[in-house]
Amino acid sequence: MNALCRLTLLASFLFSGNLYAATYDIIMKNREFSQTEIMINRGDSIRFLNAEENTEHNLFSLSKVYPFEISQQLPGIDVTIPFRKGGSFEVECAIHPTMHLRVMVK
Amino acid sequence: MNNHITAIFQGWLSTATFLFAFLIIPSLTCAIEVSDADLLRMQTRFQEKGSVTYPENNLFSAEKLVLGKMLFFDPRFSTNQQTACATCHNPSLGWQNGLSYTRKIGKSPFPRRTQSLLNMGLDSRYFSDGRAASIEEQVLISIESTAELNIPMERLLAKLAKIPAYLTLFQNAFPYDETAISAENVIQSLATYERSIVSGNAPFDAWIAGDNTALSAQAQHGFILFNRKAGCVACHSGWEFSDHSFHDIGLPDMDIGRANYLPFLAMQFAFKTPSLRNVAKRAPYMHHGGFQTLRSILDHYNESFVRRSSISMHIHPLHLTDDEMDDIVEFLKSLNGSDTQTTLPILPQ
Ligand code: HEC
Ligand code: HEC
Ligand SMILES: [Cu+2]
Repeated sequence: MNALCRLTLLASFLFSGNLYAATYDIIMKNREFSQTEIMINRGDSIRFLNAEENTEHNLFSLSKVYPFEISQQLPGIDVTIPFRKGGSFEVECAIHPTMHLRVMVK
Repeated sequence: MNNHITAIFQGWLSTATFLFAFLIIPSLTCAIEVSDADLLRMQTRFQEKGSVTYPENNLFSAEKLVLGKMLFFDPRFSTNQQTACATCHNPSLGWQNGLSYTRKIGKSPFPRRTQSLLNMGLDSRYFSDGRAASIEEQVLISIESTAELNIPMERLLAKLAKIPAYLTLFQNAFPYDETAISAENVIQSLATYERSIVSGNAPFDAWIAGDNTALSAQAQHGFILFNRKAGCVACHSGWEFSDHSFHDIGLPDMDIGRANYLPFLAMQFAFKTPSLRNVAKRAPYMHHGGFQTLRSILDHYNESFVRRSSISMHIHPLHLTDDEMDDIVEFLKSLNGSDTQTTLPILPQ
C-alpha cells in the first residue's frame, strides 16, 4: 500500500461513516446468538457479550477479507469487533457448531 | 487467522480460565441434598427426545431405508471383500467394534476408535473431529477412507452393478432417476439408514417419567452428582447426554482433533462430546479408545486430566470420593436402553 492510498484510507476512515459509527450488541445466551442476522454500516462495531451462566464461547469468522477469532470468551466478558470492510460475514462458534450469525456490512 | 484481538484476549483469558477453573468453581460445588423441586428441574433437562430430521434433499422413504441397511451390512464392496460398514460399526457391540485403534488397511493403524452410530440423527457435525458438516458428506468419507470401508466410489458402483437384484432395489428407492445406481443414491440410502439408528428407552427414562423404583438409590445419587458436584451436565446434556460440541477434556494423547480444521487454541485436542446413551455397553472409550472402564474415566475427570491452556473451562479437579465415583458409574449404567434388536438383512444376489 502506498502512502497516498494510506492517507486516503485514513481520511475516509476519519471523515466518513466513522463519525456516526454505531455499536450493536449481540448477546450469547443458551448457546444461541440473540439474532441470526444483522445489517450494519461500514465502520460500525458489534459488541459480542457472553451472557451465559456457565459456558464459554469461541467465536470466529473465516471470511477472506476479515477473518477474526475471539478465543475462549468466558461468561460476562464482552468483546467489540469493528467491521471496517463491506460484505457478508459468517460468524460461528468453534465450540458450539450450531451457532451461526450472518453480519451484512453495507 | 489470528489477529491482534486474539493475541490480547488469549493472554488474559487463559489466565482467567485458570483462575475460574481451579479457584472459583470448586468453592461453588453444592451440597448433595437437593429439594424435590431441584431434582425435578434436573430431571426435566433430560426428558425431551429430539426428533431426527430428514433434510429437504433426502427425505425419508421406507425403500431407501431397506436399501441403505443392505448396503450397510454387505461385505462384498470393500477392497478385501470382507468388510462391511457393520464389521466395524457392529450393532452387537453398541455399533462399535470393541477395539481401541482401527486397523488401517495397508500401512500404520488409524489412531482413532470406531465411533458408535447411535442417535447420530440428532447430531450436527460428524466424526470425532467434526470434519463432516452433514451425514451425506460423512457417508462419502466413510466409504472412501482408508480407515473405513476403503473403496473409491467408482469401484463400489461397478461392484454394485454386477449384482442384478440391487438394480431393482435402487429403482424402487429412486423411481424418478434415469440411472438409479449412482453415487448420490448410495449416499442417500446409507444416510437414511444411519438416521434410523436410535437407542431405546432406558431405566433412567422410566425414572424421570415417575417410576421411583426404576433406579437404585445409588444410581439416583450418582445422577445428582452428575448434575452438581461433578458438573458433567455442562457438556453431557439433553436426552442424548451430549451438547454436540467440541471440548478439550485433557486426554493424554497427541491427536489435536478439531484443531486440524479450526486452528484455534480452544480447539487443540478438542473432540466431539459423545452421547452417553448405552455407554456401559460399548467400551473402549474416548476417540483413541484409551479407557476400558467407566470407573477409569471418572478418575480422569476427577484429577488425572492433563493441565494445558486449551482445556475446557468445565474441566477442573472435582474432589469426588471413591464412593461418589462409583455412584456416577451406577447412574451411567442406567442409560442402557432396551434397543430394538437389529435383524440381519438377506442380501441381494
Ligand atoms: C475399518 C473400520 C470401519 C469401517 C469398515 C467403517 N467405519 Fe465408520 N468409522 C470408523 C472409525 C475409526 C471412525 C472414527 C473416525 C474419527 O473419529 O475421525 C468412524 C466414524 C464413522 C461415523 C461418524 C459417527 C459420528 O458420530 O460422528 C459414521 C457415521 C460412520 N463411521 C459410518 C460408517 C459407514 C456408513 C460405513 C460404511 C460405508 C463405515 N462407517 C465403515 C471405522 C470404520
Ligand atoms: C468439557 C465438557 C465435558 C465435561 C464437563 C464432561 N465430559 Fe465426558 N466427554 C466430553 C468429550 C468431549 C468426550 C469425548 C472425548 C474424546 O473422545 O476425546 C467425553 C467422553 C466421555 C465418555 C466416553 C464416551 C465414549 O463413548 O467414549 C464418558 C463415559 C464421559 N465423557 C462421562 C463423563 C462424566 C461422568 C463426566 C462428569 C464427571 C463428564 N463426562 C464430563 C466432554 C465432557
Ligand atoms: Cu459457543
